[in-house]
Amino acid sequence: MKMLEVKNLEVNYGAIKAVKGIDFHINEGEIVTLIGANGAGKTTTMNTIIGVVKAAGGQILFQDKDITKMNSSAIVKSGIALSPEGRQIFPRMTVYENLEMGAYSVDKKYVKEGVEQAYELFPRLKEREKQVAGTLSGGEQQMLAVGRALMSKPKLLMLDEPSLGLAPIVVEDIFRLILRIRKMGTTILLVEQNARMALSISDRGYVLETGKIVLTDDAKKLLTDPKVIDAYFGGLE
Amino acid sequence: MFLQQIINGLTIGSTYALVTIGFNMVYGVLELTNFAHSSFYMLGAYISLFTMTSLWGRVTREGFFIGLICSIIITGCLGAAMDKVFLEPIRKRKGAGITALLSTVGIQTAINNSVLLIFGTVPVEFPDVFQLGKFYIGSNTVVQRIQIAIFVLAIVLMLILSYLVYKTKLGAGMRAISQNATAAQIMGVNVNHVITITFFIGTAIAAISGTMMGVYYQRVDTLMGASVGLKSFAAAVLGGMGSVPGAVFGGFVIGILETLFAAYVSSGYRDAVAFVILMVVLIVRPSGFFGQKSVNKV
Repeated sequence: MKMLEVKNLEVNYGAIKAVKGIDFHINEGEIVTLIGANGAGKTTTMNTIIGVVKAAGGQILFQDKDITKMNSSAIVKSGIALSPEGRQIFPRMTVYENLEMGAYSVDKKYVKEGVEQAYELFPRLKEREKQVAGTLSGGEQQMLAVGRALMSKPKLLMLDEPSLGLAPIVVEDIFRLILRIRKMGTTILLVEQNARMALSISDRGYVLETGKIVLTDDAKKLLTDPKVIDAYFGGLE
Repeated sequence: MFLQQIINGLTIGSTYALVTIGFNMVYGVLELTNFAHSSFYMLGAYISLFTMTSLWGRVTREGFFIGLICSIIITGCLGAAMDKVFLEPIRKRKGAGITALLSTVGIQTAINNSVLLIFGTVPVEFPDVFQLGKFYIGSNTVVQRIQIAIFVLAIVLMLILSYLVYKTKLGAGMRAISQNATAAQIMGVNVNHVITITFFIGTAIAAISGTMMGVYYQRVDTLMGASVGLKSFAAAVLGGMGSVPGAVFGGFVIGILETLFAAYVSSGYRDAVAFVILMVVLIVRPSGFFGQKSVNKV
């Protein structure tokens, strides 16, 4: 069953066309990756799905419901969550309060189990529970952003560059976690600069170039596709 | 003598506190210095007076409360409308903070002059509907009961608003917006909705404050907001910009110091006290007493 379907999506920033009519979909239970260079439109696509940026054309269907024109609070309520690029935590709130904010769109009674789950996934967050989030390290803030996105019990979790700026060993942790989150029944849309790593845990992938999808296939095939290797893995090893 | 000064200082301080609470609430959410806030304070007083005298016919206590309620609703709606019409479009196109600030200066002038045109320049008497009277502490310290009412009102409003901002879901949305509006939106906070409600509450409280001041001084005039507005700015900085308890703290401190200065040093320079405090605080403790220090991590 299709969880999310994007049809001919167009997004503009003023006169600049950031996304020029892309089509893609995510099936329930899948991990799908969008790869592409800076400025290809990956983050814009995610921001448009969550409603922070408005589409100029096309359609976004979530569980067969048109969410293109809905405002983001309604979209989040319907079951989509985003862990945004650059973490975007609330710097003067504590770790716990940040997590609590993640559950803003759902009933208060889910806060407790959500927090427990976040601490179980990221034990480091529990140690820092009462610390103000702005003083966390980059990796910890990233964990917080992912943990916070999970608080609303999303059906579809979008992760924008979850490994950006993290030490390689932490990156591996993050990817292992993504697999665990999928096992818990969450569908995942992933945007990553670390294309090889992202494809290795994904089911399918889409390659974006300057606002258009130029290639799509099973992740395993993309991993060995010479064009992808050339452009995104830095050539053959 | 000293006790009398403290009591008078607390009363004036309550005035400042009442204005500053609403001002700080808006600042807390938008980091916007709303220069029009003190105009809503003045406007609120006029609307109360106008509805209670002209619509209700004779002046009674019931009439006063009906006037006050009308004023709360009308002023609150005007505050929310100000945001919708003049400030939301600026946010939408991600305009600079200074743009919105200048816009509030314009709104302030527009309100002040509209009130001047409609109600005239002559101060209007505000009937003393309560006749609460006064009592003495010792032989020479007078306390008017209305002073106690104003003081209690400041404390009660502070408690209610603190609860709202720090304990409710709406408050969580407000605090989230103030720290990171985009992230708040991603969490599902209806940002424009929360901001509209914030403006409504902030200006509605200004209307309550203005009306109470009308009752206290038994008059309203078009300039009543001017000096109070500037001093509430000093109170906000002293207590901590954006902090609700800080607003009340700052208001009381400035009210008391100003009164003591007038009594023991010079009454001609009493208005200078608030601004000297403002300048000193900005140098020594820019985040004020209850303000949060900003945490910026790259």
